[in-house]
Amino acid sequence: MALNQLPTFAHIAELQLSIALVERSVRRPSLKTRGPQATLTEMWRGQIAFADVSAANARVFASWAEWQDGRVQAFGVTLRQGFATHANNFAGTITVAALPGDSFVYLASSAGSQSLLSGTLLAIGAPGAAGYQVVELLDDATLNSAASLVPIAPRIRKQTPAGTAVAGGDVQAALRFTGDMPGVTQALFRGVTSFDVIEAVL
Amino acid sequence: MQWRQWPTFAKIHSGGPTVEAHSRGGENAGGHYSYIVGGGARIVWKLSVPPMQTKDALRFRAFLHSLRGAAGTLELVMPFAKPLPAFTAHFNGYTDGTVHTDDTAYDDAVSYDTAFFQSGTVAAAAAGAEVLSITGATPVVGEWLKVQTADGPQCVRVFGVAAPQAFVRPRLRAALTSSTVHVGQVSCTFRLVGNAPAVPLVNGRSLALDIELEEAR
Repeated sequence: MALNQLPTFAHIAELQLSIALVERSVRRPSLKTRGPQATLTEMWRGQIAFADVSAANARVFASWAEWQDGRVQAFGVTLRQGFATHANNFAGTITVAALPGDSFVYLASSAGSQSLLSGTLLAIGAPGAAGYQVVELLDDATLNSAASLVPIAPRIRKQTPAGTAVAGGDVQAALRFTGDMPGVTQALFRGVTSFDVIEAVL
Repeated sequence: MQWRQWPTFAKIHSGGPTVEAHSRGGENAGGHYSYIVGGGARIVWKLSVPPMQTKDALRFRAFLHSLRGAAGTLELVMPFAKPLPAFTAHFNGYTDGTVHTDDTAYDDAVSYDTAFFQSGTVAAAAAGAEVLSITGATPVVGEWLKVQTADGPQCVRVFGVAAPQAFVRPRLRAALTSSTVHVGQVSCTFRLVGNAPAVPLVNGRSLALDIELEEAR
């Protein structure tokens, strides 16, 4: 299922996304050596602040936000190269099935040798499809047609078969609001808003 | 991931390590077990990272995420008790008779006449000790030491010297045998307190962010 997209007039002014251990057990908070166990422990979450929009667009924006129905509806936010990820045109596949909880994947490039910097975002699968996940490369890597093991975060959430497509460039994050729809503050001639978001598990 | 090195492109803008003890008072110091988990006081450090160009900010974001919350550790070089000549202008002091508020003479001359990194020998000490007997090196008050305890390396700060004894905090969390002690420019192992903070990204660069760290062992 295709993800709802942000209105085209919505431009990100500031992006704060990090990976949180949102499902980490609170029963033993002092045991620092305990690693993340569950596959849902690591998720993108954060805040997106948007540039001002016109008053007319503010009304459209408010209606769009209401359409997401609080936490119910996942929507897509394009994380652009040079801003939220490094410029690259990576295309490749997973060569060995990735299992839930894996902190790495075996990747092969299908477009020749490509060097990627740590911090590059990669989209595993098709946006909106089951198991779709955006991961971050944790170390610099040079990828070619042979399989390379690369560390990633967040951990793999659902079993991902070999042959699944992986794409770099502008990637689309699947997000939800963390609560009820955010308000779009409307002034006389303009509107401003920011969203608290968390990754949507598809 | 364990033992990640702090990225060279990420500068530390401000903030200094301190010894935190209020919730880790040591053996039998707290009523509930949760107050003594961790074996006693340890170093905490809230540091500020200045803005970076987008390329470095994204790499720094990956570095923070590679720690996987509080599970991973990173190495940081402790600040010097004495400033490095290469980084510090050498003042000659005012000559206009400026005095402090208590009428003592103002002297801002910088002295760096001791070694910045020394190795010596520390005598055996028990867990909980805060007095170390050190030979072969001359620590000064405010300097950091790194000793090898039975539970791994521990960093301590000197708050008093009566050679060969050095008075240190926090107390040793485990016993140590007679071994090498490093003085001055030592690196200590930290972990994030809680989740990795988000790196704020704006057009072309990142904004400054604060990071809270706690000594790992």
